[in-house]
Amino acid sequence: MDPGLAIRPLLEEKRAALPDWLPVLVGMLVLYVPTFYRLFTGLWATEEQAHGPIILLLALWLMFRQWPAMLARADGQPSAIGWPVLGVGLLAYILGRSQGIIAFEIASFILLLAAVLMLKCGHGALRVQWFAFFFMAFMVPLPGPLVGMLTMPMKMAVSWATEHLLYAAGYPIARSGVILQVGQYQLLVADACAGLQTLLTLEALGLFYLNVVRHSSAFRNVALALLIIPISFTANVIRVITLSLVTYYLGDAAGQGFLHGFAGMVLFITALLLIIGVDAFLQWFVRWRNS
Amino acid sequence: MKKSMMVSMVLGALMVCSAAVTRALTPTARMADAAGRFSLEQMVPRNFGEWQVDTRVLPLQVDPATQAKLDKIYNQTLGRTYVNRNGDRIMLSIAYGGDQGDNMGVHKPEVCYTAQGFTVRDGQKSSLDTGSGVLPVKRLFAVAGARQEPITYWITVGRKATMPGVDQRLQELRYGLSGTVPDGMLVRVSSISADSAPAYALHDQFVRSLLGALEKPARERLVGVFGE
Repeated sequence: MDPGLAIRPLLEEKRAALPDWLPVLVGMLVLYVPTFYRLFTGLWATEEQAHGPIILLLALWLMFRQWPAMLARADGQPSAIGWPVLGVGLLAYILGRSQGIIAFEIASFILLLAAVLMLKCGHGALRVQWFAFFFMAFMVPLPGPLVGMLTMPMKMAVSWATEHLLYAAGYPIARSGVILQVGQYQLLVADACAGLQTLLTLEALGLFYLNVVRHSSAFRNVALALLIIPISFTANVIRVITLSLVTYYLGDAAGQGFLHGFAGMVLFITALLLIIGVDAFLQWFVRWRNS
Repeated sequence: MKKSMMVSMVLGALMVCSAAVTRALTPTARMADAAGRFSLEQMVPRNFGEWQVDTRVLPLQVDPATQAKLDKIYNQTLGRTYVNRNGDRIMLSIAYGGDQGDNMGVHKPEVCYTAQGFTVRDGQKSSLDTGSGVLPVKRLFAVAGARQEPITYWITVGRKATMPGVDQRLQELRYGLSGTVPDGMLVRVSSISADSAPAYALHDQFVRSLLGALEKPARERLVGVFGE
Protein backbone atom coordinates (compact mmCIF):
# COMPACT_ATOMS: atom_id res chain seq x y z
CA MET A 1 0.00 0.00 0.00
CA ASP A 2 1.13 3.50 -0.68
CA PRO A 3 2.12 4.93 2.69
CA GLY A 4 1.15 8.36 1.42
CA LEU A 5 -2.49 7.32 1.39
CA ALA A 6 -2.62 6.88 5.14
CA ILE A 7 -1.06 10.25 5.81
CA ARG A 8 -3.15 12.17 3.30
CA PRO A 9 -6.34 12.60 5.40
CA LEU A 10 -4.21 13.83 8.26
CA LEU A 11 -2.47 16.32 6.00
CA GLU A 12 -5.81 17.46 4.59
CA GLU A 13 -7.00 18.16 8.10
CA LYS A 14 -3.82 20.11 8.87
CA ARG A 15 -4.15 22.06 5.66
CA ALA A 16 -7.73 23.01 6.54
CA ALA A 17 -6.57 24.32 9.91
CA LEU A 18 -3.69 26.25 8.38
CA PRO A 19 -5.43 29.42 7.13
CA ASP A 20 -7.14 29.64 10.48
CA TRP A 21 -3.83 29.63 12.37
CA LEU A 22 -1.79 31.48 9.78
CA PRO A 23 -2.36 35.08 11.05
CA VAL A 24 -1.49 34.03 14.61
CA LEU A 25 1.62 32.23 13.39
CA VAL A 26 2.76 35.24 11.37
CA GLY A 27 2.14 37.53 14.36
CA MET A 28 4.12 35.33 16.74
CA LEU A 29 7.00 35.01 14.26
CA VAL A 30 7.16 38.78 13.72
CA LEU A 31 7.31 39.30 17.48
CA TYR A 32 9.58 36.49 18.59
CA VAL A 33 12.07 35.68 15.84
CA PRO A 34 14.12 38.77 16.85
CA THR A 35 13.69 37.94 20.54
CA PHE A 36 14.92 34.37 20.26
CA TYR A 37 17.70 35.36 17.90
CA ARG A 38 18.96 37.80 20.52
CA LEU A 39 18.51 35.25 23.32
CA PHE A 40 20.43 32.51 21.54
CA THR A 41 23.29 34.83 20.65
CA GLY A 42 23.29 36.66 23.98
CA LEU A 43 21.79 35.70 27.30
CA TRP A 44 21.32 31.99 26.63
CA ALA A 45 24.94 31.65 25.56
CA THR A 46 26.06 32.64 29.06
CA GLU A 47 26.79 30.13 31.80
CA GLU A 48 24.10 31.39 34.19
CA GLN A 49 21.24 31.18 31.72
CA ALA A 50 22.32 28.15 29.69
CA HIS A 51 19.25 26.23 30.89
CA GLY A 52 16.89 28.61 29.02
CA PRO A 53 16.81 26.79 25.68
CA ILE A 54 16.52 23.39 27.41
CA ILE A 55 13.48 24.58 29.33
CA LEU A 56 11.94 26.05 26.19
CA LEU A 57 12.37 22.82 24.22
CA LEU A 58 11.06 20.64 27.06
CA ALA A 59 8.06 22.94 27.54
CA LEU A 60 7.23 22.89 23.84
CA TRP A 61 7.54 19.11 23.84
CA LEU A 62 5.21 18.88 26.86
CA MET A 63 2.72 21.12 25.07
CA PHE A 64 2.94 19.07 21.90
CA ARG A 65 2.39 15.86 23.89
CA GLN A 66 -0.73 17.29 25.54
CA TRP A 67 -2.09 18.78 22.31
CA PRO A 68 -4.62 16.01 21.48
CA ALA A 69 -5.78 15.87 25.10
CA MET A 70 -6.19 19.63 25.06
CA LEU A 71 -8.25 19.62 21.85
CA ALA A 72 -10.47 16.94 23.34
CA ARG A 73 -11.03 18.91 26.56
CA ALA A 74 -11.38 22.42 25.14
CA ASP A 75 -14.69 23.65 23.72
CA GLY A 76 -13.31 25.80 20.91
CA GLN A 77 -15.16 28.89 22.13
CA PRO A 78 -12.86 31.89 22.72
CA SER A 79 -12.54 32.47 26.44
CA ALA A 80 -13.11 36.11 27.42
CA ILE A 81 -10.18 36.16 29.87
CA GLY A 82 -7.91 35.64 26.88
CA TRP A 83 -8.19 39.27 25.76
CA PRO A 84 -6.87 40.92 28.95
CA VAL A 85 -4.08 38.32 29.10
CA LEU A 86 -3.24 39.21 25.50
CA GLY A 87 -3.24 42.91 26.39
CA VAL A 88 -0.89 42.44 29.34
CA GLY A 89 1.36 40.20 27.25
CA LEU A 90 1.61 42.71 24.41
CA LEU A 91 2.35 45.56 26.84
CA ALA A 92 5.04 43.46 28.51
CA TYR A 93 6.50 42.76 25.08
CA ILE A 94 6.51 46.41 24.01
CA LEU A 95 8.07 47.60 27.25
CA GLY A 96 10.48 44.69 27.59
CA ARG A 97 11.72 44.67 24.03
CA SER A 98 12.03 48.43 23.57
CA GLN A 99 13.65 49.09 26.97
CA GLY A 100 15.83 45.99 27.04
CA ILE A 101 14.10 44.39 30.06
CA ILE A 102 14.66 40.82 29.03
CA ALA A 103 12.49 39.29 31.80
CA PHE A 104 9.44 41.15 30.50
CA GLU A 105 10.19 40.04 26.98
CA ILE A 106 10.36 36.36 27.92
CA ALA A 107 7.35 36.61 30.22
CA SER A 108 5.38 38.15 27.34
CA PHE A 109 6.07 35.04 25.25
CA ILE A 110 4.47 32.85 27.93
CA LEU A 111 1.52 35.23 28.32
CA LEU A 112 0.88 35.49 24.59
CA LEU A 113 1.07 31.74 24.15
CA ALA A 114 -1.47 31.35 26.96
CA ALA A 115 -3.71 34.01 25.42
CA VAL A 116 -3.57 32.33 22.02
CA LEU A 117 -4.58 28.98 23.51
CA MET A 118 -7.42 30.60 25.46
CA LEU A 119 -8.73 32.43 22.43
CA LYS A 120 -8.16 29.80 19.77
CA CYS A 121 -8.82 26.56 21.64
CA GLY A 122 -11.22 27.87 24.23
CA HIS A 123 -12.09 27.10 27.80
CA GLY A 124 -10.28 24.24 29.47
CA ALA A 125 -7.28 24.37 27.13
CA LEU A 126 -5.02 25.93 29.75
CA ARG A 127 -6.12 23.49 32.41
CA VAL A 128 -4.66 20.66 30.32
CA GLN A 129 -1.50 22.60 29.50
CA TRP A 130 -0.86 24.22 32.89
CA PHE A 131 2.34 22.32 33.61
CA ALA A 132 4.03 23.39 30.38
CA PHE A 133 3.29 27.02 31.24
CA PHE A 134 4.40 26.69 34.83
CA PHE A 135 7.56 25.02 33.58
CA MET A 136 8.26 27.84 31.14
CA ALA A 137 8.25 30.31 34.04
CA PHE A 138 11.72 28.94 34.91
CA MET A 139 12.93 30.48 31.66
CA VAL A 140 12.29 34.01 32.92
CA PRO A 141 15.48 35.42 34.44
CA LEU A 142 14.98 36.87 37.90
CA PRO A 143 15.93 40.53 38.38
CA GLY A 144 19.67 40.98 38.89
CA PRO A 145 19.50 42.57 42.37
CA LEU A 146 17.23 39.77 43.64
CA VAL A 147 19.57 37.10 42.30
CA GLY A 148 22.51 38.89 43.90
CA MET A 149 20.67 39.12 47.20
CA LEU A 150 19.67 35.44 47.24
CA THR A 151 22.85 34.06 45.70
CA MET A 152 25.17 35.60 48.27
CA PRO A 153 23.81 33.65 51.28
CA MET A 154 23.84 30.50 49.12
CA LYS A 155 27.48 31.04 48.20
CA MET A 156 28.29 31.72 51.83
CA ALA A 157 26.48 28.56 52.92
CA VAL A 158 28.17 26.42 50.26
CA SER A 159 31.61 27.80 51.20
CA TRP A 160 30.86 27.34 54.90
CA ALA A 161 29.74 23.72 54.47
CA THR A 162 32.77 22.94 52.29
CA GLU A 163 35.15 24.49 54.80
CA HIS A 164 33.72 22.57 57.75
CA LEU A 165 33.51 19.22 55.98
CA LEU A 166 37.07 19.41 54.63
CA TYR A 167 38.37 20.75 57.95
CA ALA A 168 36.74 17.84 59.76
CA ALA A 169 38.43 15.49 57.28
CA GLY A 170 41.79 16.98 58.27
CA TYR A 171 42.55 19.19 55.28
CA PRO A 172 44.33 22.54 55.74
CA ILE A 173 41.45 24.78 54.73
CA ALA A 174 40.45 28.29 55.72
CA ARG A 175 37.71 30.58 54.53
CA SER A 176 37.22 34.31 54.32
CA GLY A 177 33.86 35.27 52.86
CA VAL A 178 33.46 33.14 49.78
CA ILE A 179 37.19 32.73 49.24
CA LEU A 180 38.54 29.31 50.21
CA GLN A 181 42.20 28.73 50.93
CA VAL A 182 43.15 25.08 50.46
CA GLY A 183 46.80 24.44 51.21
CA GLN A 184 48.64 26.90 48.98
CA TYR A 185 45.73 27.46 46.62
CA GLN A 186 42.97 30.01 46.70
CA LEU A 187 39.51 29.33 45.32
CA LEU A 188 36.74 31.83 44.84
CA VAL A 189 33.26 30.35 44.98
CA ALA A 190 31.80 32.10 41.95
CA ASP A 191 28.18 32.85 41.19
CA ALA A 192 27.87 29.93 38.83
CA CYS A 193 29.15 27.56 41.53
CA ALA A 194 26.28 28.16 43.87
CA GLY A 195 23.98 30.02 41.62
CA LEU A 196 20.35 30.47 42.31
CA GLN A 197 19.89 29.70 38.63
CA THR A 198 21.47 26.26 39.03
CA LEU A 199 19.09 25.63 41.89
CA LEU A 200 16.14 26.74 39.81
CA THR A 201 17.31 24.64 36.87
CA LEU A 202 17.57 21.59 39.11
CA GLU A 203 14.17 22.35 40.59
CA ALA A 204 12.76 22.62 37.07
CA LEU A 205 14.37 19.36 35.98
CA GLY A 206 13.09 17.65 39.12
CA LEU A 207 9.57 18.84 38.45
CA PHE A 208 9.90 17.74 34.85
CA TYR A 209 10.99 14.28 36.06
CA LEU A 210 7.95 14.13 38.35
CA ASN A 211 5.63 15.16 35.54
CA VAL A 212 6.99 12.63 33.09
CA VAL A 213 7.06 9.78 35.61
CA ARG A 214 3.51 10.74 36.60
CA HIS A 215 3.48 9.78 40.24
CA SER A 216 0.08 8.96 41.54
CA SER A 217 0.97 9.81 45.14
CA ALA A 218 0.55 13.49 45.98
CA PHE A 219 2.76 13.04 49.07
CA ARG A 220 5.67 11.87 46.96
CA ASN A 221 5.20 14.72 44.51
CA VAL A 222 5.19 17.45 47.13
CA ALA A 223 7.96 15.89 49.24
CA LEU A 224 10.26 15.53 46.24
CA ALA A 225 9.53 19.04 44.97
CA LEU A 226 10.50 20.44 48.37
CA LEU A 227 13.52 18.16 48.79
CA ILE A 228 15.01 19.37 45.51
CA ILE A 229 16.23 22.49 47.33
CA PRO A 230 18.46 20.65 49.86
CA ILE A 231 19.42 18.23 47.09
CA SER A 232 20.77 20.95 44.84
CA PHE A 233 22.53 22.51 47.82
CA THR A 234 24.19 19.16 48.59
CA ALA A 235 25.11 18.72 44.94
CA ASN A 236 26.70 22.17 44.93
CA VAL A 237 28.71 21.40 48.08
CA ILE A 238 29.88 18.13 46.53
CA ARG A 239 30.96 20.00 43.42
CA VAL A 240 32.95 22.59 45.37
CA ILE A 241 34.54 19.87 47.54
CA THR A 242 35.52 17.90 44.43
CA LEU A 243 37.00 21.03 42.92
CA SER A 244 38.92 21.82 46.13
CA LEU A 245 40.33 18.29 46.34
CA VAL A 246 41.32 18.20 42.68
CA THR A 247 43.10 21.53 43.12
CA TYR A 248 44.74 20.42 46.37
CA TYR A 249 46.15 17.14 45.02
CA LEU A 250 46.70 17.90 41.34
CA GLY A 251 47.34 21.65 41.30
CA ASP A 252 45.69 24.77 40.02
CA ALA A 253 45.80 23.87 36.33
CA ALA A 254 43.99 20.58 36.94
CA GLY A 255 41.44 22.40 39.07
CA GLN A 256 40.73 24.94 36.35
CA GLY A 257 40.52 22.19 33.73
CA PHE A 258 38.09 20.28 35.92
CA LEU A 259 36.11 23.44 36.52
CA HIS A 260 35.53 24.08 32.85
CA GLY A 261 35.17 20.48 31.80
CA PHE A 262 33.44 18.33 34.34
CA ALA A 263 32.29 20.38 37.31
CA GLY A 264 28.90 21.14 35.77
CA MET A 265 28.45 17.53 34.80
CA VAL A 266 29.38 16.36 38.30
CA LEU A 267 26.74 18.71 39.67
CA PHE A 268 23.97 17.51 37.42
CA ILE A 269 24.81 13.83 37.73
CA THR A 270 25.04 14.07 41.54
CA ALA A 271 21.76 15.94 41.64
CA LEU A 272 20.06 13.45 39.35
CA LEU A 273 21.34 10.48 41.37
CA LEU A 274 20.20 12.16 44.58
CA ILE A 275 16.77 12.87 43.11
CA ILE A 276 16.32 9.28 41.92
CA GLY A 277 17.68 7.95 45.22
CA VAL A 278 15.38 10.12 47.33
CA ASP A 279 12.49 9.21 45.06
CA ALA A 280 13.21 5.49 45.52
CA PHE A 281 13.34 6.02 49.27
CA LEU A 282 10.03 7.90 49.27
CA GLN A 283 8.47 5.14 47.18
CA TRP A 284 9.66 2.57 49.71
CA PHE A 285 8.44 4.76 52.58
CA VAL A 286 4.95 5.12 51.08
CA ARG A 287 4.74 1.34 50.55
CA TRP A 288 6.02 0.65 54.08
CA ARG A 289 3.47 3.05 55.58
CA ASN A 290 0.61 1.57 53.61
CA SER A 291 1.40 -2.03 54.49
CA MET B 1 -16.19 35.07 7.96
CA LYS B 2 -15.99 32.34 10.56
CA LYS B 3 -15.67 33.49 14.15
CA SER B 4 -12.49 31.51 14.71
CA MET B 5 -10.94 33.10 11.63
CA MET B 6 -11.93 36.55 12.94
CA VAL B 7 -10.18 35.86 16.23
CA SER B 8 -7.06 34.78 14.35
CA MET B 9 -7.06 37.90 12.23
CA VAL B 10 -7.49 40.18 15.25
CA LEU B 11 -4.71 38.34 17.13
CA GLY B 12 -2.32 38.54 14.20
CA ALA B 13 -3.08 42.21 13.57
CA LEU B 14 -2.58 43.14 17.23
CA MET B 15 0.75 41.30 17.30
CA VAL B 16 2.06 42.99 14.16
CA CYS B 17 0.92 46.39 15.48
CA SER B 18 2.75 45.74 18.76
CA ALA B 19 5.90 44.90 16.86
CA ALA B 20 5.59 48.22 15.02
CA VAL B 21 5.01 50.17 18.25
CA THR B 22 8.02 48.45 19.81
CA ARG B 23 10.16 49.47 16.88
CA ALA B 24 9.04 53.07 17.22
CA LEU B 25 9.66 53.10 20.97
CA THR B 26 13.10 51.50 20.96
CA PRO B 27 15.64 54.17 21.93
CA THR B 28 18.37 54.63 19.37
CA ALA B 29 20.27 57.72 20.47
CA ARG B 30 23.09 56.71 22.78
CA MET B 31 23.90 59.39 25.28
CA ALA B 32 27.49 58.17 25.40
CA ASP B 33 27.92 58.91 21.69
CA ALA B 34 26.13 62.26 21.84
CA ALA B 35 28.25 63.57 24.69
CA GLY B 36 31.47 62.88 22.83
CA ARG B 37 34.50 60.88 23.85
CA PHE B 38 36.34 61.65 27.04
CA SER B 39 39.00 60.00 29.14
CA LEU B 40 38.47 59.47 32.84
CA GLU B 41 42.22 59.34 33.26
CA GLN B 42 42.58 62.89 31.89
CA MET B 43 39.33 64.27 33.22
CA VAL B 44 40.10 63.64 36.88
CA PRO B 45 43.07 65.78 37.94
CA ARG B 46 46.00 64.18 39.70
CA ASN B 47 46.38 67.20 41.97
CA PHE B 48 43.66 69.36 43.42
CA GLY B 49 43.25 71.36 46.63
CA GLU B 50 45.42 69.71 49.22
CA TRP B 51 45.13 66.28 47.56
CA GLN B 52 47.54 64.60 45.22
CA VAL B 53 47.93 61.09 43.83
CA ASP B 54 49.91 58.91 46.19
CA THR B 55 52.59 57.56 43.87
CA ARG B 56 53.99 55.28 46.53
CA VAL B 57 50.88 53.14 46.41
CA LEU B 58 50.91 51.20 43.17
CA PRO B 59 47.41 50.45 41.97
CA LEU B 60 46.60 46.80 42.63
CA GLN B 61 46.66 44.74 39.47
CA VAL B 62 43.27 43.21 38.88
CA ASP B 63 43.40 39.56 37.85
CA PRO B 64 42.63 38.94 34.14
CA ALA B 65 39.27 37.24 34.69
CA THR B 66 37.97 40.13 36.76
CA GLN B 67 39.39 42.62 34.27
CA ALA B 68 37.59 40.87 31.40
CA LYS B 69 34.34 41.10 33.31
CA LEU B 70 34.95 44.75 34.12
CA ASP B 71 35.63 45.49 30.46
CA LYS B 72 32.36 43.83 29.57
CA ILE B 73 30.36 45.91 32.02
CA TYR B 74 32.20 49.19 32.08
CA ASN B 75 33.62 51.11 29.20
CA GLN B 76 36.14 52.94 31.39
CA THR B 77 37.41 52.47 34.90
CA LEU B 78 39.76 54.50 37.02
CA GLY B 79 41.34 53.59 40.34
CA ARG B 80 43.60 55.96 42.27
CA THR B 81 44.80 56.62 45.78
CA TYR B 82 45.09 60.24 46.91
CA VAL B 83 46.91 61.58 49.92
CA ASN B 84 46.76 64.98 51.64
CA ARG B 85 49.29 66.86 53.78
CA ASN B 86 48.15 65.13 56.97
CA GLY B 87 48.81 61.75 55.39
CA ASP B 88 45.12 60.85 55.10
CA ARG B 89 44.59 58.45 52.23
CA ILE B 90 41.48 58.26 50.07
CA MET B 91 40.83 55.62 47.45
CA LEU B 92 38.86 56.86 44.47
CA SER B 93 37.31 54.42 42.05
CA ILE B 94 35.20 55.45 39.07
CA ALA B 95 33.47 53.24 36.54
CA TYR B 96 31.76 54.59 33.45
CA GLY B 97 29.44 52.60 31.19
CA GLY B 98 27.93 53.79 27.94
CA ASP B 99 25.08 51.30 27.96
CA GLN B 100 23.50 50.15 31.19
CA GLY B 101 21.34 47.39 29.77
CA ASP B 102 19.57 44.72 31.75
CA ASN B 103 21.85 42.84 34.17
CA MET B 104 24.74 44.94 32.98
CA GLY B 105 24.12 48.02 35.07
CA VAL B 106 26.68 49.50 37.36
CA HIS B 107 27.59 46.93 39.99
CA LYS B 108 26.84 47.91 43.53
CA PRO B 109 29.70 47.95 46.06
CA GLU B 110 27.41 46.18 48.54
CA VAL B 111 27.59 43.12 46.32
CA CYS B 112 31.19 43.22 45.17
CA TYR B 113 32.69 43.92 48.60
CA THR B 114 30.73 41.04 50.11
CA ALA B 115 32.02 38.77 47.36
CA GLN B 116 35.61 39.66 48.25
CA GLY B 117 35.13 38.47 51.79
CA PHE B 118 34.05 41.74 53.39
CA THR B 119 31.15 42.02 55.76
CA VAL B 120 29.25 45.12 54.71
CA ARG B 121 27.36 46.96 57.45
CA ASP B 122 25.32 50.13 57.74
CA GLY B 123 24.17 50.46 54.17
CA GLN B 124 22.36 53.74 54.63
CA LYS B 125 21.08 56.43 52.35
CA SER B 126 22.61 59.82 52.97
CA SER B 127 23.31 63.04 51.16
CA LEU B 128 26.43 65.03 50.44
CA ASP B 129 26.29 68.82 50.12
CA THR B 130 28.60 69.66 47.25
CA GLY B 131 28.13 73.41 47.59
CA SER B 132 26.24 73.66 44.31
CA GLY B 133 23.66 71.00 45.11
CA VAL B 134 22.89 67.99 47.28
CA LEU B 135 24.13 64.64 46.03
CA PRO B 136 22.28 61.47 47.05
CA VAL B 137 24.92 59.02 48.31
CA LYS B 138 25.08 55.67 50.07
CA ARG B 139 27.36 55.07 53.04
CA LEU B 140 28.71 51.59 53.74
CA PHE B 141 31.09 50.17 56.28
CA ALA B 142 33.03 47.14 55.05
CA VAL B 143 35.04 44.94 57.38
CA ALA B 144 37.40 42.11 56.50
CA GLY B 145 39.57 40.95 59.38
CA ALA B 146 41.61 43.94 60.54
CA ARG B 147 40.75 46.02 57.49
CA GLN B 148 37.88 48.43 58.12
CA GLU B 149 36.79 50.50 55.18
CA PRO B 150 34.11 53.20 55.29
CA ILE B 151 32.72 53.73 51.78
CA THR B 152 30.74 56.55 50.22
CA TYR B 153 29.39 56.05 46.74
CA TRP B 154 26.88 57.40 44.27
CA ILE B 155 25.71 56.62 40.78
CA THR B 156 24.48 58.72 37.92
CA VAL B 157 22.09 57.73 35.18
CA GLY B 158 22.31 60.02 32.21
CA ARG B 159 22.55 63.55 33.53
CA LYS B 160 21.24 62.92 37.02
CA ALA B 161 22.56 61.33 40.20
CA THR B 162 20.12 58.82 41.69
CA MET B 163 19.89 56.47 44.63
CA PRO B 164 20.76 52.95 43.45
CA GLY B 165 17.91 50.47 43.12
CA VAL B 166 14.36 51.37 42.19
CA ASP B 167 15.10 55.07 41.59
CA GLN B 168 17.92 54.11 39.26
CA ARG B 169 15.69 51.72 37.30
CA LEU B 170 12.93 54.32 36.98
CA GLN B 171 15.41 56.92 35.84
CA GLU B 172 16.69 54.53 33.16
CA LEU B 173 13.12 53.86 32.03
CA ARG B 174 12.36 57.57 31.87
CA TYR B 175 15.33 58.03 29.54
CA GLY B 176 14.56 54.92 27.54
CA LEU B 177 10.94 55.84 26.87
CA SER B 178 12.04 59.23 25.64
CA GLY B 179 14.29 57.57 23.11
CA THR B 180 17.73 57.78 24.71
CA VAL B 181 20.06 55.07 25.96
CA PRO B 182 21.48 56.69 29.10
CA ASP B 183 25.07 56.21 30.19
CA GLY B 184 25.98 55.68 33.80
CA MET B 185 28.73 56.37 36.28
CA LEU B 186 29.60 54.83 39.63
CA VAL B 187 31.91 56.87 41.85
CA ARG B 188 33.27 55.25 45.00
CA VAL B 189 35.30 57.00 47.66
CA SER B 190 36.72 55.01 50.56
CA SER B 191 39.40 55.10 53.20
CA ILE B 192 40.88 52.76 55.79
CA SER B 193 39.57 53.75 59.19
CA ALA B 194 37.88 52.21 62.20
CA ASP B 195 35.94 55.37 62.95
CA SER B 196 33.27 55.92 60.33
CA ALA B 197 31.95 59.42 61.21
CA PRO B 198 35.25 61.33 60.68
CA ALA B 199 35.97 59.14 57.63
CA TYR B 200 32.66 60.11 56.02
CA ALA B 201 33.41 63.79 56.77
CA LEU B 202 36.80 63.33 55.09
CA HIS B 203 35.09 61.73 52.05
CA ASP B 204 32.74 64.73 51.82
CA GLN B 205 35.63 67.15 52.00
CA PHE B 206 37.54 65.17 49.34
CA VAL B 207 34.54 65.14 46.99
CA ARG B 208 33.88 68.86 47.46
CA SER B 209 37.51 69.62 46.77
CA LEU B 210 37.53 67.40 43.67
CA LEU B 211 34.34 68.93 42.25
CA GLY B 212 35.69 72.43 42.94
CA ALA B 213 38.72 71.69 40.79
CA LEU B 214 36.69 70.47 37.81
CA GLU B 215 35.31 72.41 34.86
CA LYS B 216 31.52 72.41 34.50
CA PRO B 217 31.26 69.64 31.83
CA ALA B 218 33.52 67.30 33.80
CA ARG B 219 31.66 68.05 37.03
CA GLU B 220 28.36 67.29 35.36
CA ARG B 221 29.72 63.96 34.18
CA LEU B 222 30.65 63.01 37.71
CA VAL B 223 27.62 64.19 39.67
CA GLY B 224 25.02 65.03 37.04
CA VAL B 225 22.95 68.17 36.91
CA PHE B 226 21.31 69.35 40.11
CA GLY B 227 17.76 70.54 40.37
CA GLU B 228 14.99 69.92 37.79
